[in-house]
Amino acid sequence: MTSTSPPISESRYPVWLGIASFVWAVVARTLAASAPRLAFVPGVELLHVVLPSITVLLILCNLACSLHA
Amino acid sequence: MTGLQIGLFTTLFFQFAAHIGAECYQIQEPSHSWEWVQFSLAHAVRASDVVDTLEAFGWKIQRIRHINPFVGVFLVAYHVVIDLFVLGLIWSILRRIRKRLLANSERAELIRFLGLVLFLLSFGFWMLCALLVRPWRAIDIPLWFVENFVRVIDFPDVMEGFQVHWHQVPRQSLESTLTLLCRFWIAIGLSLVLSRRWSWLRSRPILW
Repeated sequence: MTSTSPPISESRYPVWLGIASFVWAVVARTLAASAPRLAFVPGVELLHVVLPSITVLLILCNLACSLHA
Repeated sequence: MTGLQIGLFTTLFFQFAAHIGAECYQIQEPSHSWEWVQFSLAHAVRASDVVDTLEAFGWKIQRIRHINPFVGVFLVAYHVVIDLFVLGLIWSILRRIRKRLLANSERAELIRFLGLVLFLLSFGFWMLCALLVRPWRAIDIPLWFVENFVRVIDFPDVMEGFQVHWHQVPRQSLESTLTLLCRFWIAIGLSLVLSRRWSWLRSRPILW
């Protein structure tokens, strides 16, 4: 008698999200380091909100993927 | 994945300082890149420290400290992310050790007896220190117990994130050792209750 194991559904972590997160971490860190030099660029106030928001969004995406896995 | 999250959170904490303002942190200017990595790794260590040993002894392992509640909210989220990984790992290791140690009924009985003796010794040591050697204020005794209990169940370290303290027991080596012992016994008690509850839930027949 042969026993059949139940099918296991594998949820994989999307590779593109990992690459995007890593690239963003490097880019965002460089932009944040040059923030004092960008202080007089018009519309920089918007960047002060948008840049950290993108990081938070990526953190939430990674968290959702890990919880799903 | 957790390593990636640590990297993203490190970037986020630096972004808060650069884009919102350095006044979010207690920081010695000029800050270096490694200090932000140290800040992030130190909080990863604090999150993994289930019984809050670093807090009990007042050890400072980072140069940058947050002072803004807004940053505190994100630090709590960071601790949750680390804890999801670390607590799962600790729980599976503990379950395996417990299963192996308690496999033999005689050994299990001996371990339970030794545990009880050690608990009574710890309690006697606490009574000696807190009531006779360096007497604490009466109000501090219940507050100290409650704070220790809350700190053990507070796995995302909300109390630490918002710098909440209830008692005024000094943080000297004797009192810190008592605090650590108390949290250790609370953690053991909680894990026993949780594992009993878990095995009861698993043994219960499914009615639907």
